[in-house]
Amino acid sequence: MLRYIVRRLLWLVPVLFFISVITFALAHAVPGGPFDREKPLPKEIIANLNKHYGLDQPVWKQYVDYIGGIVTRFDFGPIYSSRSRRVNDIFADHLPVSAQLGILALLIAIGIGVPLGVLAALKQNTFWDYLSMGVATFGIAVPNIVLGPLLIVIFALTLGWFPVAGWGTPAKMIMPAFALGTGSSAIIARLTRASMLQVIREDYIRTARAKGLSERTVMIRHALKNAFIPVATILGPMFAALVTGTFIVEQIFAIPGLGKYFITSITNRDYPVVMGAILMYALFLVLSNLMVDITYAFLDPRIRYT
Amino acid sequence: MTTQELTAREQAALRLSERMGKPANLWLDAWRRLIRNRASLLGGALVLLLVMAAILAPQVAPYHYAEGDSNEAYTVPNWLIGLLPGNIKAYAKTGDKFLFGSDYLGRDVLSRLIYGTRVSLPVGFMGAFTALAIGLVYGCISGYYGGRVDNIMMRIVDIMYAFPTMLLIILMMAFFKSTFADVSPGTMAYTFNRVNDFVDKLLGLRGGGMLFIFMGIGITAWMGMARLTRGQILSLKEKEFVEAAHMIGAGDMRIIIRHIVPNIMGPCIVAQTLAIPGYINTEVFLSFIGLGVDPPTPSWGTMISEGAQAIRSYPHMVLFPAIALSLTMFAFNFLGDGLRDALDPKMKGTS
Repeated sequence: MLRYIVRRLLWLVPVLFFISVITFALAHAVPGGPFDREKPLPKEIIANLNKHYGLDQPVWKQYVDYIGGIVTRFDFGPIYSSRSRRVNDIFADHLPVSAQLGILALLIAIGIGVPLGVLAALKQNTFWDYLSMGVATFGIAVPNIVLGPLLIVIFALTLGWFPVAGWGTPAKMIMPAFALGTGSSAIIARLTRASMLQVIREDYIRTARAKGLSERTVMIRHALKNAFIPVATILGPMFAALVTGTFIVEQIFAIPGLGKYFITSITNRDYPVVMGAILMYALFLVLSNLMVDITYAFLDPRIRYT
Repeated sequence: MTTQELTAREQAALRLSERMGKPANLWLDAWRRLIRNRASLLGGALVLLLVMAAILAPQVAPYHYAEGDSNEAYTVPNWLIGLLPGNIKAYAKTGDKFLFGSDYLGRDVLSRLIYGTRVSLPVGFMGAFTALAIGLVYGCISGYYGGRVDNIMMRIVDIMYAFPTMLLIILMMAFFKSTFADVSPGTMAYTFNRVNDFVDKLLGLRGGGMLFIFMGIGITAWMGMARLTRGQILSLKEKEFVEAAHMIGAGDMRIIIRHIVPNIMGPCIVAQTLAIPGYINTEVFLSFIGLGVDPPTPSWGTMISEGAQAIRSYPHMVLFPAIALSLTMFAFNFLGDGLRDALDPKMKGTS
């Protein structure tokens, strides 16, 4: 198990290397520089700024310096638009917000999705099944870009239950997390239902019932645990997608997360911020996939990693 | 035993007897199953309606999508007032001129919604088409030849997969937008720009930059398709009928095109129909953050973004594009689900 984890972590290196090269090349291929303004700065000032940030060096040298800074000092570089703050400061201030929102949304997604899927599977082809799957279809068809404004109109403006926007207090977190999580909860619900339906027809479920176990134990200990494996598979990419997918929700609810920084930094050619954000998200994605693979071993003892 | 059940059974028998002697046709059978499914029929009808709206936009739209009178900005339709927060009556202009109200420049929301289908639908269909075209070829080569070719091609897909898709598209769009803004003749950027103008004109829009959106979505959309195709081919190429085709001396190309591709078309089409909402959503997302279509071309994403900024005072601006977007999503999802049940009845009710 440990060897497997180490090997997977080593795989991180080439993956992140490729991603960083592609991103770096793409970001630098965009014409224009970070110091282009509506009213152009004098040539000498731009030259000085470029020199200060090392932008006058060949691109490969810039890349080596950048990676070197991360590896040796864990320094993700400066922000061109701000003299006092560096990318590390942005991460420290805004990444936790995005991550909180992502985790909360994932919890909501699981909290709604799994019970809905189980209910639909246990009462297959009844009213409850159709109701749950109707809710799930609704969740898939209403993207967060739609759900966000709808929630605001209904619950903040009309009913006045929650504040319209902002971040920090639990009351402010509920609507954004809900807007972000519903789409995923629908996917989880459909998947849980499908895999539950398959599992409850297995022989070992009949055996468990024949042993005289209570229906509750059979369903939770034997059925749900096995049915959860395919669900766990999509949780990894889903979590990464939730964290990266926060742009819209952050924008609608005016949340100070990383997403907004990423978008403005692209248009401002703020290379270090773009690179840092993409690398961070990629790291998230790969690590969450690894976590999923490790969870398999707990869910199904037959799965062994060597 | 009720009479109804008997008649159902009789009907089934009748259908069977009608079929006697006729060869089973996958597509015809699938069509029959599809039109028996009410939800997918509804979805199909909605999609058809949207396509009609897109084609007939100049005839259907009551006003021009890009022209408005700023005196009429933020008009809230009378019929909606009762449904909105109470205090809106105190400050908002009301009027019956615009069925769905007007936006911050006094442009008719309904007309912009109708023209917006000319952005959303092409994006959805082109996304599916590019994914199908690239993914099918890529997956076929990778899966059929196997071995080292397969290994290298799939590692490339793996690395692309580790890229956060949304971020890649955003980066791509920023790249396209500024690189191809160059209009000096003779350069490649100029050629791209010409093609883009042609595409925009074809769709009847005044400068939307649609080609670049197609490219951005196409670049990321094919990977899932390539994996699906490869997986299907891996299991198919060991089947007896492929062996038989080999035996009678059919070449690789012939086997792939005549024997394998027709067999995997069903799942591929289903996957892409279900992916269309995703592509539409991507365009909406891009326009929302300002990297999508160029104004004044009306994209639902731009409309939602503009509406979201005025959501406290004028919720009607965001409400209608949001509803239109969800309805479109519903339509394609229902249609896709129905198609899956129709093309692969074994899958029915499992997901």
